[in-house]
Amino acid sequence: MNDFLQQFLVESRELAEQATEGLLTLEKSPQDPEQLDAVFRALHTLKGGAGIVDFFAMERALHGAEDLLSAARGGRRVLNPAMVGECLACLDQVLQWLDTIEQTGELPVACAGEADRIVARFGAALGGSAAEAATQPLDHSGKYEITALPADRPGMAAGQLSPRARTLLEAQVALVRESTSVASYGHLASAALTASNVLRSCGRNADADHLARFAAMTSTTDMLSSIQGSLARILGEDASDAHSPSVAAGSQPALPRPETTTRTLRVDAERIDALVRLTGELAVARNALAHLVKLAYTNGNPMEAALKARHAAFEHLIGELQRSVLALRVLPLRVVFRRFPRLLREMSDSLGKPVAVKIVGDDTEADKAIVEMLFEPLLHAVRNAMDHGVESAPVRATRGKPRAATIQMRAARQGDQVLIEISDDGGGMDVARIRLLAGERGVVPGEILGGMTDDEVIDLVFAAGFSTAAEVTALSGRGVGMDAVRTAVERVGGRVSIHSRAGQGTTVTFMLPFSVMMTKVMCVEAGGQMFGVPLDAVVETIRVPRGTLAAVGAARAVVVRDRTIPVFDLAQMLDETGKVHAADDAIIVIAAFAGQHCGLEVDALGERLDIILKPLDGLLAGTPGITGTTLLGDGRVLLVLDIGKLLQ
Amino acid sequence: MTRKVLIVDDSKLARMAVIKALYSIQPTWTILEAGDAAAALELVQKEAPDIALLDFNMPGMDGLILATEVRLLNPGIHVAVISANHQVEVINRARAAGATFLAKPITAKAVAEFVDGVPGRQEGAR
Repeated sequence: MNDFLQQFLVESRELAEQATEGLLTLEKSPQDPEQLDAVFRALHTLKGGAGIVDFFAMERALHGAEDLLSAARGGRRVLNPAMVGECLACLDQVLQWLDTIEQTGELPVACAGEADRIVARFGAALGGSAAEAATQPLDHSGKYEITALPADRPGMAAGQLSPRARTLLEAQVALVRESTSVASYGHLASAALTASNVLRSCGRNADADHLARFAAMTSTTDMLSSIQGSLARILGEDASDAHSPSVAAGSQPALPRPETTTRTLRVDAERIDALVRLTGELAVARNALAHLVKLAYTNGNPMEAALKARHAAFEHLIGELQRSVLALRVLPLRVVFRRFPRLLREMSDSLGKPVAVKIVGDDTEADKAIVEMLFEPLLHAVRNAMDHGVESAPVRATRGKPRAATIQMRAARQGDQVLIEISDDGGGMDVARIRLLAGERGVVPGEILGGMTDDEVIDLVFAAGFSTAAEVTALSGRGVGMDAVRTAVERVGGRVSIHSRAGQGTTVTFMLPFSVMMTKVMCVEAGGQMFGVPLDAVVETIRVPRGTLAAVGAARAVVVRDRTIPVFDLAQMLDETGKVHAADDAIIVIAAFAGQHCGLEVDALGERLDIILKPLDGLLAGTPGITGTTLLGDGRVLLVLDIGKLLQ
Repeated sequence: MTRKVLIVDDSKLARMAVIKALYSIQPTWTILEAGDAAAALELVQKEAPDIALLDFNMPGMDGLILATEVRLLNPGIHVAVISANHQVEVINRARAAGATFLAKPITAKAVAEFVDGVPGRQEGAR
């Protein structure tokens, strides 16, 4: 992707976001002149950018939106919710196009139809005339040839010109060459439109948009040179069998770099992830070093003091490095929060419950992994608030509350944690009903339930399979309950809780770690249980006939590439049921620790995972041979082995 | 003769497009960039550019007002205001502010016509 397209993506997303926010404000106060200006400016710049990268379909679509805003700004129209809706739909389409560009690295082809639809809808919203002007009736030639085009024309990107198309285009070139007098404006315009139609029939919509636009130019000389230039390029490229005719700005001379100082760098997220992984491995290497230093100490090595001092400095530096590297990977919560005003607007429409959204502290930062996993859990909390928390407008009126409910999304940094609260000013949770349902559904045995406090009862909504929805609605009833939310949050090392006050509202509180360190593990099965082996300890996995395992004293060994490696049964080491392996072949994971290799016999090998390792706590604390745990996607706990401890 | 050109637009993409156009005709010229009016005015004072290309549509101060301010600070500067808005009113206001009007999307040809029309710095003025 070239620099221009890259910058276009970045800028367009920002502008689309600004415009969306502005439009949502305008919906409430349609005549706010500042917002009208801001949205108009954003749309205008967005359109300008599309023009710069030659994305004419997007330019056309946005032109419609701009016209609408222009009419509103000039006082000729008052924006109604339908008009705002059209603008938002147009921006949605723009965002989809941007996604396509990001994925393919090229401008989307065959999107003229989408642009046409948007333009037509804007025209309808403005009263007809604009639509006709923008879609341009193309009935110039007088002779028609109508052939059916397959609805889906694959390979349109290649857009080879048929011999007939070439002839037609060459005819336009000849026509244009003769039309040099000022009076030939009409000739030029119709030549441009004819060429546009020919190109569209070959599936070259970007080029077609290009030509169609020339027909609207005001200066005859400009139009002449533009048409000549474009057609020469199109015919030339086709003759030389160029492969991507729709991206004209691809191979331009390199840009000068006038900025002498660059304050920000745009770095591929994968490179940062690689840096984070390397830092993680460095931390593991440091741990091994700590072990050696301890050994030196117990053996009374004369190097001990020096070693210790170096090690302390090393440890300090690695700590600093880790912090700095993780700080590279932070994103503001705005990235996830900004999707909600739009979603809440839709929920509000479909439920008929008016709502105001308040967002606080969206510049709070957190690790990219945290920010990216948050959308689903937050969406669930917000849906619940809209569905079950917020009362209908008439009920709110009887309770003396404002007609429109308020949903607040708040974020704040608290030490090493990030706090996020989703609160509503609805009716609060029905504790008695939760108690009843929990009993009915056997979530908790009756006798225990009786002794639980209200807060403990409320927490039961996080229990597996619990749902208080009287009926499954389109919004909340998607088959995942709050238990899925809690699992997702705990998987990244966070916590989630609910506080409710009857009649006043509910708050869902998320506490998440600011940063996460990912560890790669390989899953293995032994004694009917799944374990994780840190991947940096795994040298290789082998499958050998059981007969090749030689008994060495009480233990066993295997010879791999002339090297004898002791083999232990992982299940027995962990005091799992020491069942005798029945299979003919033994599956052995060869692990390395402090330069020593050893084999662990397992029943099966599983997948490799990127996990967030949680240190052991509670009942498991101090379990030998286990370094930590992680929650699997299905809610099961994976114990991760400490190979070093196991082998000691 | 090497000139200093100031390009002002709140969209970096738009600045890139103008720079590309300018570079294709005058690769040796020094280019200064500003993303808003305040930065532009600061550069005009500090760097004394010979030419300024200003976007019309910017938050805060529009390109025409900025053109007037720029010329107050540096009366000898040659200013063009770039806009997609072809309204006669905008074109006339640009002229009144002593600026040339250039239509968006900007082309190398339009930039060339403008900068070629800028008279060279007179030796005696040094």
